[in-house]
Amino acid sequence: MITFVLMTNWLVLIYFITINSVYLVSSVAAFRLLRSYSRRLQVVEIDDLIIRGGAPPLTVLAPAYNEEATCVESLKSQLTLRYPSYEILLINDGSTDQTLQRLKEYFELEPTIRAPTAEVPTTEVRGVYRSRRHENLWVIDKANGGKSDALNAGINYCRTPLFCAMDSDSLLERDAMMRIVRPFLEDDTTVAVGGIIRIANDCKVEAGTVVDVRMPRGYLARMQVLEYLRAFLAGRMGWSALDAMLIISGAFGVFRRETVVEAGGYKTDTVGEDIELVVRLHRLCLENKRPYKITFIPDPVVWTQCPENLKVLGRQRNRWQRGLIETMWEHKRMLFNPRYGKVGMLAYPYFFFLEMLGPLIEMLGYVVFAVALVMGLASPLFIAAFLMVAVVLGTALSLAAVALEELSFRRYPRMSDLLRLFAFGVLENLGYRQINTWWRAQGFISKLLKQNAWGKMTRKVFTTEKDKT
Amino acid sequence: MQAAQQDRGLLVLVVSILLLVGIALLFAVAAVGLRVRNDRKRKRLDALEAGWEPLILDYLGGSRTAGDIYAVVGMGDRYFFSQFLYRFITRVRGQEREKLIELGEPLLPLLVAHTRQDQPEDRALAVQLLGVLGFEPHHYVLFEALDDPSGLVAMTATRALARPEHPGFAKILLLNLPRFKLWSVGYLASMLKSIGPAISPELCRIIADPHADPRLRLVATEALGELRDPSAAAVAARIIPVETDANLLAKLLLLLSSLGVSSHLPVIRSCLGHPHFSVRMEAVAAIGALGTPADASTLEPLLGDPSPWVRLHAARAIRCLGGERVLAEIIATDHPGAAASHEAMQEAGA
Repeated sequence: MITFVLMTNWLVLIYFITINSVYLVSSVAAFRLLRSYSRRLQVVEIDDLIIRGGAPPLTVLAPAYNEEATCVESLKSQLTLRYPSYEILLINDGSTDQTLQRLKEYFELEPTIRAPTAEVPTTEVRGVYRSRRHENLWVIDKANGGKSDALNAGINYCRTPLFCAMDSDSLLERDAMMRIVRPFLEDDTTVAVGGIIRIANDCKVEAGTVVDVRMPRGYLARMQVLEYLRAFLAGRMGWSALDAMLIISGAFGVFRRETVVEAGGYKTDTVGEDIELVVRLHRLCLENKRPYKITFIPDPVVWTQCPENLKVLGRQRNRWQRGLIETMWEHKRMLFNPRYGKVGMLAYPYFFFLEMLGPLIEMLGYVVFAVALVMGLASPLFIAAFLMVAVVLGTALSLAAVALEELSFRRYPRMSDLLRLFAFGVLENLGYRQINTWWRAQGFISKLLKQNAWGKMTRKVFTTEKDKT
Repeated sequence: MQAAQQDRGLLVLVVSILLLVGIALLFAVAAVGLRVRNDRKRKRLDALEAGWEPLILDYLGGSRTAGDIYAVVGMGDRYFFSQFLYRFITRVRGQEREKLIELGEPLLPLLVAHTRQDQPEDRALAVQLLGVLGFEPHHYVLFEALDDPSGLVAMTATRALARPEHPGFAKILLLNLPRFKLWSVGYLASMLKSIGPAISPELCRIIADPHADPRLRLVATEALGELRDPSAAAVAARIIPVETDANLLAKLLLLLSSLGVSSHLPVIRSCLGHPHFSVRMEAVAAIGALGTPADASTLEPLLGDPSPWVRLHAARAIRCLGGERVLAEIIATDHPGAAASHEAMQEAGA
C-alpha cells in the first residue's frame, strides 16, 4: 500500500511536470511566432492580397439544431463578412423549435432546387431554400442526424473549393475569412486552417458584430477566457509551428472541400467530429505521401457564448473528453508510428497519454496525495513539489498565456481586464482546474460505460444594445 | 540513505520548478510592461496621425508645402510617417496620388535603408512602401529584393514590380515565378494579370512549351483566361490533343469556354471521355458555350456521369443548347441526372 502510494505520487509528479513543460515550451515558441506574425500583418495588405490575388470562393457551413434564439443574429453577422465571393449554407438539422420558421420569416426563404455535388451519406434532406433578400444565403432542411451529419449535408451542397465549418450560434468577425484563407493562397498544399475562438459573453454586439470586447461578468466565463487563450495562443500555435496540429475547433475552421470529400466527410458516430476529421486528414495525406499543411493562425476570430453554469459546462467538458478518447482509439495505429512523422511521434503520444489519460492520472494523484498526507507518507519537500507543479506552474502558464495575448492582439483594452485575467490565472488552479479534471475523468468513465449522448446545451442570447433598452 | 537521496532529488525538483516559475512570471511582468508600452505608443501614434491628416489635406489643397509638413514630422517619426503616407496614397487616385508620392521623396533613402533590416518582415514592409512611394527612382532595389532569402520579401517585391506601365519587367518576373511554386495558382495568375495584355505573348509561349514547369503552365493558362486574350485560344486548341496533365487540360478547356470559337469543338469533344472528372466537366461546359443544338444529344449520356459536377454541367449545357425536353423527361425519374436537370431547368425559369 505504501509503495503504491509513493509510486503513484511520483507518477503524478512526472505527469504534471511533463504536461506543463510541454505547455511552457509551446508558450515560448508561441512568443516568437506571434511576434513575427504581428509584424507580418503590417506587411501583408490583406485586402490587396485577397481581392487582387484571386480569392478562392468559399462556403460557410453552419449546422443548426434548435437555435431559434441566436440563428438570425448569427446569420446577420455572416452576411456582412468582408470577402469577395462566398455563400452561406445553414443546415437545419431537424430542429424541433422555431429555427426554420424564424429563418423563413426574417430572410424570406423560398423553396428551390440545388443539385448535390458530393455523395457523403446523410439523413434525408427534406428541402433546400434560398433567401430572396440575400442571394448567397441558402438553408438546407434535413432530418436530424447530429452535427457531423449536418456538416456532411452541407459539404454535399457546397460548390466552392473551400468551406468554413462553424457553429451557427457564433459570430464571425468581418475580416475573419480574409485572414483565414491567406494560408491557402500562400501554400497550395494547405488542406485545413483553424482560427481562434473567443468568448463573447457580456461583450457588446451590434448588427451581428462584437463592437466592444468586455471581460465576462461571471466567474466561470472568465475562467474559460483564460483557458481559451492558453489553448489557442500557446497550445495550437506551438503544434501548428511543428506541423503537427491535431485539432481545429468545430466552431471555426476552413477546409479544402475536395480533400474532405476524399477523406469521407465527418464521422457521424463520434462526438469529437472536429478532432477526428483533422486526424483523418493527416492520415490521408501521410499515407498517400502527399505534401500538405494543416495550420492555425491566431487573428481570424469567431466569438462564441460559453457555458455559464456548472452543469452545462460539465456536460461540454465530458463530451470533449469522450470525443478525444474516441479519436485517439480510432486512430491508435498512429501512436509512435514513424510512418506518421511528427504527428505520430510527438503530437499523438502527447494527446494520447497526457490529454486523454491525464484526467485519470490527475484525479488519482489528488486522491493518493490526500491519502499520503493523512498517512504521513509525504515529506515536506514532496508536498512543496506537488503543490508547485499542480498549482504554481499551472498559474505561471496562465500568466504566460495572458502575456501572449498582450504581445499579439490585446483584445481586452482595459487595464482592469488584464489584471482580472492575472487574478483568474491564480484562482483557476484553486478549484476550477480540479473540477475540470473531474468532469474529464467522468467523460472517460462515460466512454468506458458507452454513454454517447451530446447532452443538452443551453445558450445565452447575444446581448445587443437594442435588447438592453 | 534512500530517504536522503529522495529528498535531494525533490530539492532539485523544487529548485527546477522555481526556475520555470520564474520564467513564466517574467511573462507576466512582460505582459504588464507590454500593455503600458503599447498603450502609450498607440496614444502617441494616434495623436501624430490626427495631427498629420489635416496637414496632408492642406498640402493637397495647395495651402501647405512639403517643407511645412516635414517641419512637424520628427526625424524619429519619419518611418512611421511613410507608413501613414502609404495608407493615404492607396486611398486616392490621379493627381492627388502623384502629389503625395512627390511628398514622400525625402523619405526614400530611409526606406531603402530599411530594406536591409535583419528581420524579413521589416524588409518586406520597406519593400512594400518603396513599391508605392519610390518605385520610379528605386525599382532597382525592388529587383534586388527578388533574390532576398525570404519568400515574403521576394513576393512583396514581385507584386510591386508587376504593373502595366512596365511590361518589360514581365520576363524577369516570370523567370522568378518558380520560386513561388507553393503559392496558389489563382493568386499567381492574378498577379500576372495585373501586368496587362503585354504579357500575353510570353504566357502563350510558356503554355505551348511542353518542357516548361507544369505549374507555371497552369498559372500562365489561368492568367491568359483572365486577360481574355483571344490568341490564347488557338494555342490551347493546339496543345489539348497532346497534353497529358489533367489539371492543365481542364484549365485549357476552361480557357476555350470563354475565348474559343466553334472551330475548336472537335478538340473539345475529344475530351468528353477523359478519365479525370475535371476534364470532362470543363469539356462539357465548353461545349455548352460553343456547341450546336446537335451537341445536346452528344452530352446526354453525361447526365449519368459518375461525377455530380459533370452531371450538373451537362444539364446546364444541354439547356443552353436547347435540349430542355431531354431534361424535362428525366426530372421526375430516378435518373442520376434528375436533380441536376431540375436545377438547370429552374435556372432557366422553367
